[in-house]
Amino acid sequence: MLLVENLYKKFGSREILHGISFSVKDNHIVGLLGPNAAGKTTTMRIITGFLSPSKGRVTVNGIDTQSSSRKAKSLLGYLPENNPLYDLFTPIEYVSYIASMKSQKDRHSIDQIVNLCGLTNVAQDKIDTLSRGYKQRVGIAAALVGSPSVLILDEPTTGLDPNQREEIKKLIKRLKITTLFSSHILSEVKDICQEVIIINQGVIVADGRLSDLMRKGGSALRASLKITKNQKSAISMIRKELLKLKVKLPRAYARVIFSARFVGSGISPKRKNLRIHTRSYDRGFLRRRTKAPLFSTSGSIVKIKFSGVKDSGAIKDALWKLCQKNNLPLEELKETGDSLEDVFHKLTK
Amino acid sequence: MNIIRSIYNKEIKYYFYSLTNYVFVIIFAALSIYLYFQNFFIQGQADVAPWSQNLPFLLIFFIPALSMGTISEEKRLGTWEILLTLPTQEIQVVLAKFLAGFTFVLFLLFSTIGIPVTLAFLGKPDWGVVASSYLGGVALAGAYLSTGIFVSSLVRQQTISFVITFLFLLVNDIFSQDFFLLRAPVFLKGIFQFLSLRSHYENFAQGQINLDSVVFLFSWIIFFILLTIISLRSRDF
Repeated sequence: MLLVENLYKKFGSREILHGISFSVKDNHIVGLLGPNAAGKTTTMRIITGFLSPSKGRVTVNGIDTQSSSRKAKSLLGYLPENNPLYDLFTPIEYVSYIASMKSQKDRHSIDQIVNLCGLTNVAQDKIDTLSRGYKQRVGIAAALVGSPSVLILDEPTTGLDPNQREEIKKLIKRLKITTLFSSHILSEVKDICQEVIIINQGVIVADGRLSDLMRKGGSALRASLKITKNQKSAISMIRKELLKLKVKLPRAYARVIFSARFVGSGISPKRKNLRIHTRSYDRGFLRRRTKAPLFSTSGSIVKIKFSGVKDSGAIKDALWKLCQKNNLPLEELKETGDSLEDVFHKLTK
Repeated sequence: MNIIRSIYNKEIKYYFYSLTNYVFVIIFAALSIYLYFQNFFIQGQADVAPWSQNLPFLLIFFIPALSMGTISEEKRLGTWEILLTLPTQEIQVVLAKFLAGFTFVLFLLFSTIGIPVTLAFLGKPDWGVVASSYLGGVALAGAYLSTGIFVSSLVRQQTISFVITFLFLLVNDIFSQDFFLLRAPVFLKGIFQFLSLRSHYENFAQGQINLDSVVFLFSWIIFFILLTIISLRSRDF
């Protein structure tokens, strides 16, 4: 178990961490989120003993990282940001080097780690000839040396392509070790972590289970309407009507969940990467051009999403009335928690 | 001890894997031999004095180039973070790096072995002076190296590390030069001479192994190793 208690860190007169406390339970994977310069890397560097805290303490399985630094360090596996490696080594040499520093001489366990991280095929190649994905695996393999109780991974998927990211995600899940994992990619945190800590300007602004956090962040309202004819003019009409609504909407904008259907283009909508790309493009495109609620379409289905909704009843009523008045079949009207992205934006703004 | 050995082996691998370092050794050997034989036949003496006189100047150029990346490069690449988050201590890291650098320095000085070998063929050199000149060279190079490693621990750029070490060693060398001492205040002359590494090395070059000089050069090395450790421990301030 990793325990961080009342951690402060000052660089000169600048205070980076203002008394943060959290814990990572055994075998849990916890995501450490925050915008740039929030204090994530500083927190991780203090945990690993690279930096010392100005105040507060960190314990790994009850061992203080300051007073028993060597003992605590031997219980930790660390992958720093940007995954620095000695390029002249081969993966097996590098893992053996780290093993010798941790007084682990067992060749069998080194081979096991290399195998677990999928490095067997490239074990004898020089690290500087490996792809980024493999280099990342080498970094994780090095972090696994000495059977650490806690893994600290600082943005382990930065700079990787989606396939490589997926592989690293699978690897982290497969390890089943207590892990503190920082990332900028929220979907990734959602996939891997059971719990999330959000840090902003050196203060923890949220800490808990993902589902609880998303519920706390406020609700979202999603409506789906089936419009088979004159979809464009219908959307335009609904948009105008929604703008006329006299409902208090804190940051009242609707988010588009855009699922493009490439009719006749031969491109399958099931191609996930393409869909993500198209979605983000169109969201940006529409956001730049309107402040009004935005819509997404998927064939004959028109989706509307309101986030940060505090008076959902009023919006629901208005939508019902609007649909009845214009004879539009309302397929679905669902209230859910905000996405992690919404929560993140709210808490770190 | 295992940790020091592991880091030492890694450092040695890096020193001897780099083609640049071999070019570096060849240039050093070529310059040493050239400077030595330039006046060798005019002088007509079978001793290593012309070599030992030039050695401090050569080392002032070559040792900073050798030591400039010792720590700064690890800092720049980020591997430093890995090294210090392993169950290691700063003293182990610094000692291993110094010993590896020192091994390469021995290799560098060994590259001039052609000079005493030639002397042996051409005349009857005083082997005591030759041995003490080499011993002094090794001690001087060690002192320069420890200085270079300390400077390397302070900065992230190799070039800056090189320039600072070079200037520092050059100024220290000037302390023992006649043109400087003639202009220096009388009461400071002794201090300048005592602080100059070259003046201690010159005792070795003349075949005298003074305890004062041995202690001074050895203390210099320890002092800068300690400064490096302190500099690394204060990395987060």
